[in-house]
Amino acid sequence: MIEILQIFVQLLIFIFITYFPFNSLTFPKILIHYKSDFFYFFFNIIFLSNILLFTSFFSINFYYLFGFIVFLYFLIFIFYFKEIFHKICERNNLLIKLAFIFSNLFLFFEIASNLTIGWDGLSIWLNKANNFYNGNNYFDLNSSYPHLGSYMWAFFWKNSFLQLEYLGRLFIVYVYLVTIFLFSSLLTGHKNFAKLLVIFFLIFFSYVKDLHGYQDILIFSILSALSILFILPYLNKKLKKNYNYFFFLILSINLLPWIKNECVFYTIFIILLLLIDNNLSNLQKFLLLIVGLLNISFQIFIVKIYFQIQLFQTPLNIEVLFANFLNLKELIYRIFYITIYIFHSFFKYPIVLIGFSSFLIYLIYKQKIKLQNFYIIFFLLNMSFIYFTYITTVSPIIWHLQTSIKRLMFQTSGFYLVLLMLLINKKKIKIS
Amino acid sequence: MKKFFFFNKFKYIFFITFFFLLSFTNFFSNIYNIYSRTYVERMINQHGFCNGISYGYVNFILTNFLANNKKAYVINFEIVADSTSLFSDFQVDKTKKNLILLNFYDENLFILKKNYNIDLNEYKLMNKNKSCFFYKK
Repeated sequence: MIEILQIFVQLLIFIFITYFPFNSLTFPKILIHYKSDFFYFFFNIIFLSNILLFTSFFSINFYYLFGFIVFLYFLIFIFYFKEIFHKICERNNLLIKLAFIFSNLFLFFEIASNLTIGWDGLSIWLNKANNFYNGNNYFDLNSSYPHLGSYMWAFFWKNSFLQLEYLGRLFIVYVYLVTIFLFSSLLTGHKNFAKLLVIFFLIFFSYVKDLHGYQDILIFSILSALSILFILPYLNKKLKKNYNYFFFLILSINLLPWIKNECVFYTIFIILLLLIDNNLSNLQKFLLLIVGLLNISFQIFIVKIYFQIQLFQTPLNIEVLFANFLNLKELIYRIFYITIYIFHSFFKYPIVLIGFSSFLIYLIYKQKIKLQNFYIIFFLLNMSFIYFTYITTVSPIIWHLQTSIKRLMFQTSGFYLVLLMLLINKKKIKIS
Repeated sequence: MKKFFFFNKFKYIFFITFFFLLSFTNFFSNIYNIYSRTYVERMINQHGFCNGISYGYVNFILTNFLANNKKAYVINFEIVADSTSLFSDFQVDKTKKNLILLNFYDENLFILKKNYNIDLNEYKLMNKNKSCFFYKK
């Protein structure tokens, strides 16, 4: 019974810690254009994750850090108590709020009951979380794998009453659900029932039980949220050249390379897309480029110079690269199997199929949904990255494809889901 | 009353979907599982006592034999992920004084000698459960 209570408390902690400091009460003038509370939750998750990323490089006691954050937020809570109380009591979007709480509880109980952690989760991510849980910092790890997800895991694990490992992992699921509910806020002119139907549909097909302990769901969530941030200025003209929107964009990009190795490439893709974005000023683009490059360079510097280890699991072998590209038979063989396994991932994780179908339907109605070519460019870059990775791999190709391509496809599938929302809005896909 | 029972097709779909979500996450059986089984029991249920990762056996040895100093050298002869990361305070005993062998059979004796340079004649058997053993030097 005490564990069930602890799960409820953990959800309350997540909601409390991600409702501050950025919301419509604390920054009414700046954040007025974001209509849904889920934007505030997401912005605060990003803000908190950046604080945690910074503290991960130092040996800061988790209790003090948590205590300090909660104390500050509690002061804000007391200051706005009346308004917050009114907000909780108001019946506006009550159904969505309840669905959010219930969805969290459903998935939290699922994790608490099914405590399996996958192979990588055990041998990589939980090991790292143990390191942080025991009071060590990033420099004690001596590993080429990024660490942010494990640090967050350890942070909430340490700051739970029962101090059970899975209580820390629940935060990743919370981030995932905030992103899923964020999608629903894009649906304009639809009843709450319709929005909930879309939310449940997305949860059915994107919540993967066999990825417990993995970081892929976190990448899926952040890329999905980034894709939403991309189109916000198109949906709300007031956000064009808006600096607070840019602030959250840059904070999100700052996190990506610290989650998993392949995210370094996703960060580069996102920066490239933003460089062609008409909604950003030249100064913003310059800042973005500088922050992105410094961030990636810092990571490469630590791994290569400080730890003196390979940046990625399998180093790029120039000889293999040329051999595979010049040998036509080998090249066709590899391209064939990569394509087969991409299709296989559609059935393994149906959300990949949904994401890709949304992308294809978007291509048909491209003229009616006036966006820059973000999604087409991202698709091309992502596919090139996948094909290039597996064509040049030194590991046995079939084994490598069997063990990883489905997760790579899953990670980026959320990026295209925003197109599904736009298509529903344009009534190209009807739900009610 | 008539209004209460009036459901349009869409609301039906919504409620069906909601119950699908309940069943998809096995909500009620999860609640029962958490309520009726301890964390360790659920971990053993998922990760095995003396099979696969063998969480249960390692946990048993660490609690009953190495409670003060959770230091041991664990070798699992099944190809599975390392179970020791499930214990946050576990330390690898590089001296191999406390030896835990998981899924160990006679035919693995040769591998033990060749790959790990371990001679079991130098050890005293402290505990045994099926194919899992705890030796002390």
